[in-house]
Amino acid sequence: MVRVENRDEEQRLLEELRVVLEALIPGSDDGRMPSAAALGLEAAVWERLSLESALAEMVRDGLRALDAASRARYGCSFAEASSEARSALLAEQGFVLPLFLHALAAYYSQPAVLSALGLPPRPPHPQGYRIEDQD
Amino acid sequence: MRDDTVDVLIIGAGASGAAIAWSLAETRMNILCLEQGDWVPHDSYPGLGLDWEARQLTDFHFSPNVRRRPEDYPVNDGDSPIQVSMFNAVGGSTILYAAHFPRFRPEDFEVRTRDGVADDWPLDYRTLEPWYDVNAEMMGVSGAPGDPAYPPKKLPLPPVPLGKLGRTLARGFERLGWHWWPSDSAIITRDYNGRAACVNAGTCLLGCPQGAKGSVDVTYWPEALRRGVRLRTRCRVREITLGADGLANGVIYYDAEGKEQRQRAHMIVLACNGIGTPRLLLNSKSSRFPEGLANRSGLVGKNLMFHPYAMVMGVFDEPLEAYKGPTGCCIMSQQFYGTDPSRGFVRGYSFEILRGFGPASTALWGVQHGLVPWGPHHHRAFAELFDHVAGMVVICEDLPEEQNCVSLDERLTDAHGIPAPKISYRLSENSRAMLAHAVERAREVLEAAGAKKTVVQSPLPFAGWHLMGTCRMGRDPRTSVVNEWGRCHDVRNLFIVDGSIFVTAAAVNPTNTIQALALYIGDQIKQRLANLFD
Repeated sequence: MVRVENRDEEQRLLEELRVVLEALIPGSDDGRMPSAAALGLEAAVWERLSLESALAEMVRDGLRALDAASRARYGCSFAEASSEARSALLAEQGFVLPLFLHALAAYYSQPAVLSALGLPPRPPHPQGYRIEDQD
Repeated sequence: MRDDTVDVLIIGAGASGAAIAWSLAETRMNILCLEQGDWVPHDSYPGLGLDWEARQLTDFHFSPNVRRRPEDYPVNDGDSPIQVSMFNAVGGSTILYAAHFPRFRPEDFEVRTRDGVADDWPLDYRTLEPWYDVNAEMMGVSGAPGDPAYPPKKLPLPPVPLGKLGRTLARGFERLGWHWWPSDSAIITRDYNGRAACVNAGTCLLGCPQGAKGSVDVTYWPEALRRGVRLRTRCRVREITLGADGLANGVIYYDAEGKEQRQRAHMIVLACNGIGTPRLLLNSKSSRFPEGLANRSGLVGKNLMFHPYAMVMGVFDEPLEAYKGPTGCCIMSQQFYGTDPSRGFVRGYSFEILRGFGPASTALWGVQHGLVPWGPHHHRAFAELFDHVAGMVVICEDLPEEQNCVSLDERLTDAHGIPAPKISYRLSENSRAMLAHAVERAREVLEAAGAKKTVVQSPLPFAGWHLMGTCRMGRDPRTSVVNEWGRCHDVRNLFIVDGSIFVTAAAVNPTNTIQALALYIGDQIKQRLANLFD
């Protein structure tokens, strides 16, 4: 596990992560699909990332770099930047793709997301699925 | 130190070790199997959790190098475009396999005679046919009789459902007039021998909590154990030892506590797969066999065959119920199976239709191929793919080449300090030409079925599922490692029953043939007990 120095720092990191996840997986325009942030995925994603310390460090450092770049270029934090500015900033950061992949794995295993996709909000087993011509 | 001499010591509790353990059990000999992995509790399988797809990237990954469980050993496969896949447990790689269960075709055993390449096997389809039938009963094979590509065969259970996805793709094959048939599958479609039928959950490649998929921990092992075979898990064999008489007399292994142990045996059966078996022989050096046990031919570890794979997926307008059903079993086509000189390569390939992806896998696959972005357009792009993707793998016949091989890595070792295997493998020009042909035909059939877009991955990197040829079978001790009934030419009480002994690879999944061979060799041993080591 990658340790953060204190509770305040951990809270700050999770808040920054929440903002980035919101930018990566926003809610759908029609309101059907929830955003990653609305599901509160930041804690689960960070826990998963922390199992691979190099990856967690890359994301932690990347979040700091993202905020610094936002302040340097736009004079505000990443959280306060416009949608266009956020997209431009994220496209420059190497940590975004691996973070996105982990975020997707977490997002598409949420019961609320499965329901929104029209799937039963449960694991595949033990019930399984019925196929129309199985008999 | 344990020292009870057993009659038969089997190393490896996977597909072939389980089959021969069951076969030999009726002799009432004292049979022990050593397995480096353990039983996998079915309630630990990912399919029972919401994060099941994510676990294919971690503790249930195909590759031991990614998975890195304590029972895994590393494989240096950096010098190969195809990465090795295997699982170490009671059940071996059948825990993770798709259970796609075709037989070899009769002509697959005579490639030299038909096409002038590789070699003929020292046995034929008719020799194995009764053992394919026994295996069908034991594993619980489902399928539809009458496939024109094969002689009549025993299929105890009706085929897996095609579903909307299968029917859609079958339409493409029909339009082109190409061969297709429901897949033979080691997946029970009805309750069978105390096992409950498949529920179409689509998690086959992560273990089957239902027990409907025929992994050998639920097929052969319960029967073998009831018949008195003993199975000792978490025991990793380091080397096979040799007596003054030139016969193998036992093994040295590390037990579950990591302690070095000695196990003596009158006869040893290797069932460690096409990489583990040559690794163990090459690690068993002696003054009599300085290049590795049973290796006077120099062919231990040589002629490694994978099946080069490509994956070709199509995106369809209509939803396909794609996430339902056995992951790797639906329909197969052998339209391009035999040699046609006009194609520019010898031998051929099969198409195997896959079910679609689950939601997380759809997203990850979409990102990998540049089809799913992050940001405001994410959901629209995802919706175009989820439940709209279907396609196939092409599985190409690989031909034996000596430079494709398993050797020992000079530096890399497992947790016990045992030298790890190193893979040297390149795709031949024949395989490249075959893959290119297959990819174009796959696109053609997907478009005929209605796909509006196709996505190709060739060769497929994590597709080293089939490990064959590294201790090949033959009559001539100068050009083969084991004889025509699985006994090592150089060590008369040492047998090999896994995919190592394949002479050629055919263009189908090998497990059914591996097990039929193991049952055949078991039968030969039983018939020759009076003079087995002469």
